[in-house]
Amino acid sequence: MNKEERQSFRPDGLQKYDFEFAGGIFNSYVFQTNNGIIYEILFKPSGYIFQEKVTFKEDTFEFSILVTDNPTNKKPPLDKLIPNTIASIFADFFRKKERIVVYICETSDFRAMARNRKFNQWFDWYKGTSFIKIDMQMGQDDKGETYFTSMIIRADNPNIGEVVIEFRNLIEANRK
Amino acid sequence: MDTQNIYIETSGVRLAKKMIESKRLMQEEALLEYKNNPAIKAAVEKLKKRNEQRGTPIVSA
Repeated sequence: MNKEERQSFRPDGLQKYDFEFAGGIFNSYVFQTNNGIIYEILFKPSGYIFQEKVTFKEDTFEFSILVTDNPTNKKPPLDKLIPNTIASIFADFFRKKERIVVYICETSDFRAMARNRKFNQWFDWYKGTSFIKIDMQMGQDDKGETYFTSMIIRADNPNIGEVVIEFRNLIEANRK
Repeated sequence: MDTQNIYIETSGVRLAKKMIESKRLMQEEALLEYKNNPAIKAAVEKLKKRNEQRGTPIVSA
């Protein structure tokens, strides 16, 4: 199956880990790997990113991946099933088409650029034609670390015009 | 004349730092929730049980 044949965020025909929606304050999804490692995929309500006036604040979420239980006590290995699993979780989370997901790359270990590249590859592979991603480079700090953030929305989001305008405004405002 | 490089933080970097702080806080709180929230515990147990019954955590999409 090639990328074009695949529906958005639905890795049909591919293997993935079973997952469960756990809810909580971060709209958490959980899955367990072959090694017994438990991952959580978190979607934190994050309307603060935008101006007060926008109508879609309550539909804006920050996305994060977290290892919550690692019985191996070793660094989790690369696992080809995890990208498929996360794509399926995205498909489930985006069943409500008004939702907006924002992702910012962690900078603590100076690997933000590598994370950004990996996230882009993942998105490009799974997005199909139903999702749009807008990227924003938010500048460089005094240590030379560059900050990257991306916003993902469904192409049929009824607020898409307003969302894109507000995200552009955010980009413009944050260049100063 | 002495010259110094003066770094002025843009509002973009300020917002990015705020978002990263928010993300780290979310991860810390999520770890606490994982231990203390009965709904999260129940979801994990349900998932583990399903994986045990299937004999693998892997499913076909």
